[in-house]
Amino acid sequence: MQHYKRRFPIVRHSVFLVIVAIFAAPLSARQSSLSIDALRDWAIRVSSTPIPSETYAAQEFQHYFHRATGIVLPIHKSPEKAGGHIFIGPSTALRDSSLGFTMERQYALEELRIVITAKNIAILGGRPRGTLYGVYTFLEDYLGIRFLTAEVTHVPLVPVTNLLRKVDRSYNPPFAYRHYAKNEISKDPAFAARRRQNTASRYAPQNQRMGPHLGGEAHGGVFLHNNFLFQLPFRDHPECYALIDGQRSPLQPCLTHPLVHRTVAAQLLQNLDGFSQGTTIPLAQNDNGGVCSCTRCITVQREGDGPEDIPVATNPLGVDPQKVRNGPPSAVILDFVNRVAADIAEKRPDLWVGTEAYAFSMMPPRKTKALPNVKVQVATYHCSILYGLNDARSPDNVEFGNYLAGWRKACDHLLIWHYDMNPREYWLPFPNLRAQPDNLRTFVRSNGRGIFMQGCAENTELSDLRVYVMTALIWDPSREIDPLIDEFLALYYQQAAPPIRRWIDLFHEQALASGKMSNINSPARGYGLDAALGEKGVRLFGEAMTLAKTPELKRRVEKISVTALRLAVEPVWWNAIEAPRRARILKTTLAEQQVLLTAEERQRYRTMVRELFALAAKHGMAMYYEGGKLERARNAIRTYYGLPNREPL
Amino acid sequence: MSLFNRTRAVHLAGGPSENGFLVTLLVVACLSSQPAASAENLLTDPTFGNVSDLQHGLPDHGWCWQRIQTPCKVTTSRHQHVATLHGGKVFLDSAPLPLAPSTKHEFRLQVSGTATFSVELLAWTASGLPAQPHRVILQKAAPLPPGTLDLRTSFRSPADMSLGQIRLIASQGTAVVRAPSLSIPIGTLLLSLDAAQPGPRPATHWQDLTGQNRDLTVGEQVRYAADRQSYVFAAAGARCCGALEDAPAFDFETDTAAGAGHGDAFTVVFYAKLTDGHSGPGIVNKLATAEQRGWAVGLVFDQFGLDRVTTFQQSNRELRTINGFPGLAGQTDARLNVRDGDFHCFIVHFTGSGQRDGSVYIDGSTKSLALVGWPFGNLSSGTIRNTTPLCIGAFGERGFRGEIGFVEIWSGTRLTQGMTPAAYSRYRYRRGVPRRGTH
Repeated sequence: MQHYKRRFPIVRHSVFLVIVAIFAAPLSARQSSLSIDALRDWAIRVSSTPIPSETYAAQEFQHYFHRATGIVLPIHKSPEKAGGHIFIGPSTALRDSSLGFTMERQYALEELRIVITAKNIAILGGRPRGTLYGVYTFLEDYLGIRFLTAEVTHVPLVPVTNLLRKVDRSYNPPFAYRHYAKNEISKDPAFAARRRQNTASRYAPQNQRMGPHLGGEAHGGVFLHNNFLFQLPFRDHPECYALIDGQRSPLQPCLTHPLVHRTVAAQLLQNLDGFSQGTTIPLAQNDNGGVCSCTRCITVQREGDGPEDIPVATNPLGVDPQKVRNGPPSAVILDFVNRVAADIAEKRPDLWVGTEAYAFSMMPPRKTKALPNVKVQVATYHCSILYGLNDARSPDNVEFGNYLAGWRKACDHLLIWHYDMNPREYWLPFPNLRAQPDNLRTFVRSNGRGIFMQGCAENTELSDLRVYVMTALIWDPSREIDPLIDEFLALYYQQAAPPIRRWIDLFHEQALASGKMSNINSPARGYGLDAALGEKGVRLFGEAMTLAKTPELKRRVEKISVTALRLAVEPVWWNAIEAPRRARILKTTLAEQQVLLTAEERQRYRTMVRELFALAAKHGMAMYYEGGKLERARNAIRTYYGLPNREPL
Repeated sequence: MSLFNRTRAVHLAGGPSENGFLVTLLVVACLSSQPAASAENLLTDPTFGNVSDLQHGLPDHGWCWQRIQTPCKVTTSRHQHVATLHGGKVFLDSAPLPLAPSTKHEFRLQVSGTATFSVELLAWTASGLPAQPHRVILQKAAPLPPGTLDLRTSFRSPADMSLGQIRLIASQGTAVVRAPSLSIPIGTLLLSLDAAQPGPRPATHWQDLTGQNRDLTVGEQVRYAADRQSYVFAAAGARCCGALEDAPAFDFETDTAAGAGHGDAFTVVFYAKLTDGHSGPGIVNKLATAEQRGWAVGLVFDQFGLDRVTTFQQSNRELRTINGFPGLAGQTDARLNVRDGDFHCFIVHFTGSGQRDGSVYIDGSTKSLALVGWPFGNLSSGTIRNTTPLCIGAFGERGFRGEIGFVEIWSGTRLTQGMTPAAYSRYRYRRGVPRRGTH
């Protein structure tokens, strides 16, 4: 415990002292405070005709308030004049009460407001989600409840003598569209709502969508690669696809071909009735580097200038300089999207059209502006993950910052496609945590209206921690990450938290010290991580396992320990999985790419790899990279060891 | 028009009984001497006078070329009216053309050179989306033979298409193309019966005014009514039948047996009225029984008080397409409302696809009656040819009950002077005074 206090001053402060500071106010403050006990005779009041999310908000409040204080508050719809009230959502009763002033203004769609007085409490906000978020904010800030994972909620026992300070506060999150794409959160929409996520996206199965009781699905993003919704196949219409190196290629449509515009527009116009109000229609490029070089596209790409007037980009981000010698390819995309958006606006001015600024289209157009009904989703794929987007130490991030500024001028409505994982290696420690707050704040400063953050596969790396921390930052990017990490570790891993914290610090510090600039897609060495660090991590997790006193805590620690074990077996992983890939790409021999290992080392690593796969399987880490199943990695390593079919690893 | 003026004058000069033989001779002479109408070339620029590199908009007329594999280009010679495709690989596309759906078209082109060459049709719906099928291969890609290839092919346009483009494709060489032609073949009048000119023996024989077929034998239950210029089909099974020798002329195969685009379109024209009692199918038919192969047109009035036109094409009891205009028993209660004691003029067009399509125009209308397809079964394979003679009135014990003024059968999708069946409806009905006899 002594060690805990020394190592976790912030945790101690945030989890305990903050609550104490709020509830156990000094005597002088008591007159401006309300005791929990005073609420014993109050009732929860909702509208007589509440929307589903406000009914649900009242039930959530009732449930967690009871768990935290032992007090069961009734929920009333009928007019009750006597006693104090906790008004949840707008209602006639609230309007007629001493807090009626809270209904005198309109609230933004996601905005919440909490007013605490001696006679009444009001929790309300914009419809359909503001009130529900107000309830969760109240539960967190005034009762100390923490929604840690879908399965684990920290509910402290709050003494009824504690005080609620009188307050009138509002909060409107900067991102109206909040989507952390990760199975831990999408599998449980109720948990997603508690973490203030407001969508599972149009691509999610129905059972993951946010139901009406959670405020429904937010419109607005995300746009995944979809061939710009162009449906004429390459087989029938090669002329409608990109001319690359003198030959038509199915990689991308040729967006200046009149048939592409005609068919995409015709298909959308025919189906406009199927889009609900405010929906965004995604028109997004495919996930490859194909840039059309036909004369029409080049003309549009130059945005009215002659070839000599195009600024030379010597080191553009995410694209071969040759592909931008006629200007940014995004000009062609935006020109096309604008034309379709104009067609749609004629019939449905309430709809949006969205597109991506991704890879070769990340560089913004020099002159072309998006129409008012066009959104652009800017992707950070090529940025260095070790540094914030505002960090001058990373030239790539500086360049991205320039792009973002350009997009801000070209489009009023930006969305951000950001990453919180390494698609090449889900199990490796991913040293991006320290950069994330700065990234999110940069997005806010750049008029980002929504965010789609792509997480790693279920159960891999720091999954549980990341869901908690990232959703908190997405909701409120002004927060600092260290207190959030410490809070989660203390509540979720409890006694085992300190060595886990040291592990997180260790791999971040080593990565930063390496001076590496890799983007999200890199092997361990791209972030300066190595097996020796992994071995240190293994030792730390050994310590954490000792500290964990219950089977459940041991299970949680064991699951996260895979990050260290995976790094510890890096030489074998490299030889079995990365080296063959590099040999293939670089057209060299496997031996040239592999690292030398002694027989003893090979044998020792074999034992560790066996344990790694056993743990990965035990903790449900089905995928080890984007699209790659665990079995594939195991087979590669078996091949590396030359094991016959039936011989166990 | 002079032909029609002349034949009408002949008709007015003498009645069927007095001058029938002479008239027949004149009619046959007129019809056989009619020059074969040349089909209209639907391509707007058959001489390649307007060929351009495709820019930002699709051309309204002419041709545009597109790079598929560079180097490639298309050049033209204004004097020689040719276009030369050089590849690499290059497409030369016609401007979008309005094309009739479900219609047999013929494409012709002369081509020479060294390239691998192919021809396609791209079919579009009215809203600009691809029709189904969208890309119809008219000529498979193959190296051009030495000399000049006179390419000639036919196809059926997709049922949901509105616009089409011809695409010429050359790769790995040069293709010199000239004289492209896209047309709808002009039909031929195969049979013309008119009670106004029934021939010299109207009580027993009904003369074919085209002169191409033997007289139809008038059945015992059929009565010639000279005063009304009609034949009366008053009893069940009443019919007039053609000769067995002439039967093959009225076999119209469908795409399902002949191959896509090779089925025979045809049009049945009749001027008839319903009288008392129920009227069954088969007013014009080539069908021995309802179980065997063949085709039939019906002017039906059923036990539910519904009247309609039906079309029927059958390979066997399982493989058959039955369509009702504007309704079908058990499907809708739509009725034709022609059981008013007056004659009506019907134009019944079969596309040759064998599918649930076709059109029926009544009394000069240029808008087809609504089609209701029989949902049970479809002619999906098998021939409908048979050895049964063409009959008017009935194919079984039941059949048409009423009077018939005239009957025509045309092959193809274009009738006289290249008229569509819809245009022919207006022309033939002539605002309630149909042209009679040899018109």
